[in-house]
Amino acid sequence: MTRARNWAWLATVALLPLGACHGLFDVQSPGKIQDADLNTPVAVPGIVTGMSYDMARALNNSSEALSLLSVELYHGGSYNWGDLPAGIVKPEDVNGTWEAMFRPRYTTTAGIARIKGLISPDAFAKSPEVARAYMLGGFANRHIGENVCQTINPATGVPESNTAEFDRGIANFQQAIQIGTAAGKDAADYVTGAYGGLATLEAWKGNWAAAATDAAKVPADFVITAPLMVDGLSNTLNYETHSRYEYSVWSTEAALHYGDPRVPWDTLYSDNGAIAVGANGATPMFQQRKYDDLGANIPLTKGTEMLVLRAEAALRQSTPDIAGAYALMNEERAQYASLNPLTPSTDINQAWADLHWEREAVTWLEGRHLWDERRWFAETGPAHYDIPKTAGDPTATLADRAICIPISKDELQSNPNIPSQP
Amino acid sequence: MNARRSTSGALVASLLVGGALLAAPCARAAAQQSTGRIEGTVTDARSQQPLSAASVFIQNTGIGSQTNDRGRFVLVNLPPGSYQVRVRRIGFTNAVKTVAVQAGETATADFALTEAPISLEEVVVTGTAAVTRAKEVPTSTDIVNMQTLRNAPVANAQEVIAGRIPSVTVEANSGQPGAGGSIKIRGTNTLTQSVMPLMYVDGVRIYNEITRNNWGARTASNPLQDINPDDIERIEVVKGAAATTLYGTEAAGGVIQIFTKKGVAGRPQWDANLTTGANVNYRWGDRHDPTQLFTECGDKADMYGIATSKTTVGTTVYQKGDRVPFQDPTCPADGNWTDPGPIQQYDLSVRGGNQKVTYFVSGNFGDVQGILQTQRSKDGGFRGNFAFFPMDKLQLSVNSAYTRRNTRWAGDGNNSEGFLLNVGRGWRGYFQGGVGDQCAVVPSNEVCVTNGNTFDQTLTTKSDHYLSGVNLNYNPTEHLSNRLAVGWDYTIFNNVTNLPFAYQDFPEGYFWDENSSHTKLSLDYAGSYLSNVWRVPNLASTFSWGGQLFRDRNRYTEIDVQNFAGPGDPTLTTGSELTYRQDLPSAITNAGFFFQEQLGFHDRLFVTGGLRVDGNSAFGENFGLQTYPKLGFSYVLSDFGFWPKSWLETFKLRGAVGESGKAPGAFDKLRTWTPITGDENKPGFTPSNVGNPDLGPERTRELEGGFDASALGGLIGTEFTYYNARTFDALIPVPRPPSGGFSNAQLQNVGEIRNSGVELQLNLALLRLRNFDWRLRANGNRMWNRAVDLGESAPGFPITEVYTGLNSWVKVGRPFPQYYGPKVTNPNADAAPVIDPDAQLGNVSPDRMWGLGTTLTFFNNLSLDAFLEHQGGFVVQNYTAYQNARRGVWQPCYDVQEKTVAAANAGTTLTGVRAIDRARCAFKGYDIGFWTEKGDFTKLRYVSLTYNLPARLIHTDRASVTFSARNLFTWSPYHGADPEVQDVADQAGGSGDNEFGGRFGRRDYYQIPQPRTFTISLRTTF
Repeated sequence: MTRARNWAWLATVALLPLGACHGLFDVQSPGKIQDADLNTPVAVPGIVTGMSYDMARALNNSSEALSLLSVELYHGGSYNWGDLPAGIVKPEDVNGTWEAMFRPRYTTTAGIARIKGLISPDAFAKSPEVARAYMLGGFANRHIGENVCQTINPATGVPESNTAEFDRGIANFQQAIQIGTAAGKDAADYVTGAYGGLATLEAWKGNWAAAATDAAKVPADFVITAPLMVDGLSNTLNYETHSRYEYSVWSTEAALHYGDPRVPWDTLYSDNGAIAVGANGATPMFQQRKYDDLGANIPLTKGTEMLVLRAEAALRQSTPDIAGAYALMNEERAQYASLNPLTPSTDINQAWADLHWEREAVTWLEGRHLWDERRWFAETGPAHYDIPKTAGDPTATLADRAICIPISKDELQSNPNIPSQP
Repeated sequence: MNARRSTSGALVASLLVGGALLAAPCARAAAQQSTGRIEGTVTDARSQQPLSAASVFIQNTGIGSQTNDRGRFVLVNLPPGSYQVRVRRIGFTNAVKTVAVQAGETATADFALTEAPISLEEVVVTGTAAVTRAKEVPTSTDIVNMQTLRNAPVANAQEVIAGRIPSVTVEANSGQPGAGGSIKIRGTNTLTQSVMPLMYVDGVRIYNEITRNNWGARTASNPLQDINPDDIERIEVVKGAAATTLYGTEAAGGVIQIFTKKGVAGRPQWDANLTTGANVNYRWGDRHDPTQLFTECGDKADMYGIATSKTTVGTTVYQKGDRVPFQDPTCPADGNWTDPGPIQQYDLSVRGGNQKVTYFVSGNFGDVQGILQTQRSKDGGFRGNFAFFPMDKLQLSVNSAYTRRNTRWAGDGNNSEGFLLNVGRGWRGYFQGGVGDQCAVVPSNEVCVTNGNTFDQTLTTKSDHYLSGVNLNYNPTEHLSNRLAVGWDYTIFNNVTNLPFAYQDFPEGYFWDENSSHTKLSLDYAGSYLSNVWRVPNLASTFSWGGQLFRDRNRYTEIDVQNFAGPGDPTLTTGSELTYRQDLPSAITNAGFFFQEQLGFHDRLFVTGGLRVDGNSAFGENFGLQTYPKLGFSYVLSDFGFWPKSWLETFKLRGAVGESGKAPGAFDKLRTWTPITGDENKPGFTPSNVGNPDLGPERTRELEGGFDASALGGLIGTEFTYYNARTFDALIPVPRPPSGGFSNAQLQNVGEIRNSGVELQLNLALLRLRNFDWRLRANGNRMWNRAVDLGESAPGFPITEVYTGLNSWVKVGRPFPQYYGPKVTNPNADAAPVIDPDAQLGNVSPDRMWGLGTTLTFFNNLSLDAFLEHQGGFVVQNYTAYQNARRGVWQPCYDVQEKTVAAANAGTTLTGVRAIDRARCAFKGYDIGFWTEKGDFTKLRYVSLTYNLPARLIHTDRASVTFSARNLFTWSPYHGADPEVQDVADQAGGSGDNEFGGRFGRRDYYQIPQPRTFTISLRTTF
């Protein structure tokens, strides 16, 4: 019996190491990329491509909500956007938009910090990829800052003014310029792009002189984009206006400018010759043609916008340089073969009205107009702007519409640093 | 391919080795004249019929055998002496005889066993090495003895347990041959993890999850489908955490133990079964089906729908509300899409052996065709179970099986290429206009649909399932038992979708190849030591211990190719556009050990305590090991002298509390990144899962109590159980602040849910006459559950609800999962519908079930079996009706829709139409909530008539012929074709927001219902 009992304990003791054996429970599955897998210098290109992807995704995913809210497009489909097309935004309407906007802020910030630990300080200081990462970080900051009512501090999780993103963006763009300049020609586009981004943020901070200076460093024909692809992350607005008929140019300001190459659109007709209608069965289908295929990229910054920015800076001088502003606007228009130059006016009100449209046209469907509405609507005097009355909304005014994206419901329900729940 | 070859080789090798070992001892037979043998017959004391599958063994030794179909047994190579021979048989009392054996002679020992519907001496599996009698077990034990189902028309192990065990829910998914279903025990006790129970075959754990078949078929396979019911001896179901503690992490969903047949000492005994029959359309298309669904496509008068808006066909304009006619030139000549589908099934097995070696070898082949022209499932396989007894105290058994199943499907479910989705939608389906001049015969004012072209696609699933296990039982003394099991379970699925070149809906062609494989390696040791502790009289101790190691490897890959240059058999390289879509490997390791002490007082009160300790690779790195305790008692009151045994012969009280767990997924603990393609086709990474190093298993603590009793000399047997389970540390997807970058919800152990229920089994011998015997078997259960706590997304921010897919939610304080959505609150009023926009619509799954089986036997050779199953307390999302009604092709809505349009056109108030019908049949404002219907059903699962051919007519030991019918009748208020079907993606999907809908949501979405099945079988033993 004693021998048998010994057997029992021997077997037990033999089995105990099974449970304690270090490494036995390590998951060794390929297929999922674990965080530690990225801690290698060879992962750096992929990390930066991921930032670019997330930035493109942010612009793409937010393009629907932003174009509807800023009345660049009219809701003519069957998607349930709640009251957002009417300018009433509830936190639950913008869960996807909010999430997409904040992801590239995280991936650029965390990615840059990771890269700093993977390559030497010297290599870091002149890396084209690092310059691009900072540039993308700046655009991520700008995209958030221009569109949200309040942002979330990335370190504390506490809500704060949207303009805090402009400060973070300026720092990122400046880093991009510094590192990109050191990197040389391989980073030249990133430096130029960063100047474009920096110029806008300086402007939004009220430093219009510096904005004009930096904007002037961006050639008129320059454009840097967030890349989309036919197979993969594809252009949402193309799909929703070409494969589905969810959104129409009908009843927007662009509808008043048929033929303007900066806001291309066309009327769709059904087989029996009637104007085609959207997926809601009622809205005339004026189809946007700016994004004519699923792989169409969305601009991050471009020389034409810089010309218009400089024009606005001219109008904002203490003594408005109206002639100079028109010269810059016409330089911008000259980039499009079919556009005639504007006839310069000496009337400051007319100059601002022309500028409003020029800027709206240049940045159309790029997720920028809501910010312009927000800042111009807040102006008093000739810079003041309101949306035009249209067939779809004959009493339209920004006074009745949201002009920024509220904190999303998902954020409200998961962020303990936000004082109260809705 | 290499893997298959190597696995086949290993299996064949093991069988050859087994065969060689089988032959070797025979050569030594002549040298055994110095020993004797015991032969005998085991019969039913009342009917005097032979009893097969009775265990006959010599007490306190490893020597034993089983009776064959003639009730015969033989124990050989016995040294001269006196032996205590004991006989056990499920459903009968034990019997013991002392038998004297002399050298070179054969002693005879016949046994007549008395029927006992509740037999406390039955041996059950508890996870330990020691033999455990039912009387010692503190929890309910459910056993399906295949002897009692010999005449039941069941196609696989899944059908064996369906409806026969309280609280075991088998949810089928389609009427297609080859389709399986999911299994739940005691309801849903997790929000995020699999509800499937663990499965063991002959002591070896096998892969236990369902696997999606071909996507276009929208069905799933269950591992139990691969087990031929003719190979099964019995199935034991271990329910609830209190009973599954020793199985540890992953066992909170219960355990199903399948035991296949073993060899029996004696001459070879062959069993053969030949079955033929047919599947026949039952649930749709006939005149009794109000939905019609256009499956009788030759009936042109009925082939129309209601225009939902102004519609132009050719030059004819149909206004809203007009009848739009259509024709299908591809309709079969007999005007019906369905035809009887032939069935054939062949099973052959042999078993035999001697005192040193026994064997059971079987093979089977089945060919089942469905009621639609492409449906066909062929399966076949073989099994070899070998047992070796090299020493009295050592038994080595090798059990191997292989099953192959090749299935061709019809497109089914929520699938634009699906048969019923297109046929059922009439002129609103996807197949219109035809190919070539198919539509030339259709008048220009009618819509030409060409649904026959859906059959041009080829949807197949091929699966191979290999299972090998080696079991070593070593009992060096009468007190010490050791069991070691080493197992290997491997399944590979291949799904191919082929839309050939010139296919109507995809003219350039499309070819999709999916492969999934599952490998489970197991190492399982258990030991037990029986002693008389402290030398206290009538106090027995059984101390058990053990350790297990399980390693799972899974892999899923998919690749597709499209744009073929021309016709011909496509391959992955003959199309111009090749996409390697997914490669998803994963591995999980679980290891642990347990200790258990059982004290028995006077062999009538048993107290059991135990502890299981587990580690799992899916646990977070900070988590460590998980412990699961248990404590229980069993008290056999009927063993007391005062007990009124004359009328209540058996009564056992039992109670237990115990824990078991459910591990998170392989990657849930990790911070992961998703590979993406950005920057014009460059690889990159984007955040996926934020990770949780503290992640641990869900723990279910269950309190269970009940009694087992039999009375009136075995006329009545009953088992009653109440259980109350609390799952804490439930894994809840906790939302992350999106501003943090990782937006996916992270699983955290923050939830609590409760399940409770009652279970009742009743076996009645209503009449036991000499030439007439009438038995009734009933079981039923009722389950309740609710979500107590779903945790917090942040301190002070409670999570009040979790979406679980397809309109189903788990909400705090309520039963779950349930559907929520719009509901008409004045359904029968002749008025506009009044709608509650967020109503509680009902349970996703049944919360009450019962099964009722009966057997009538005449003259001991003619028996009638019938089995009725009920599932209730749930609702079904009738997406077929919902999608059709709003498109004007749901025939029960035609009258309502025509009246509605007429009233609107006339500017009058609609009258004579119930509010619920107005809501359901509306062209606008429709919602699936209105079509979420009561799904309760009662099905006559089968009726069979078996005649045992008289011995004077046959030249075999035994032969019988059975006529049977399955799914003869269904009683249900449900308006769709079959309340039991569901789109597979709802079962085989992943998390709550996966592509297909989610873990819990179920829906009938143009699923092909279960057909009626008629078969005739000839079984013979020789």
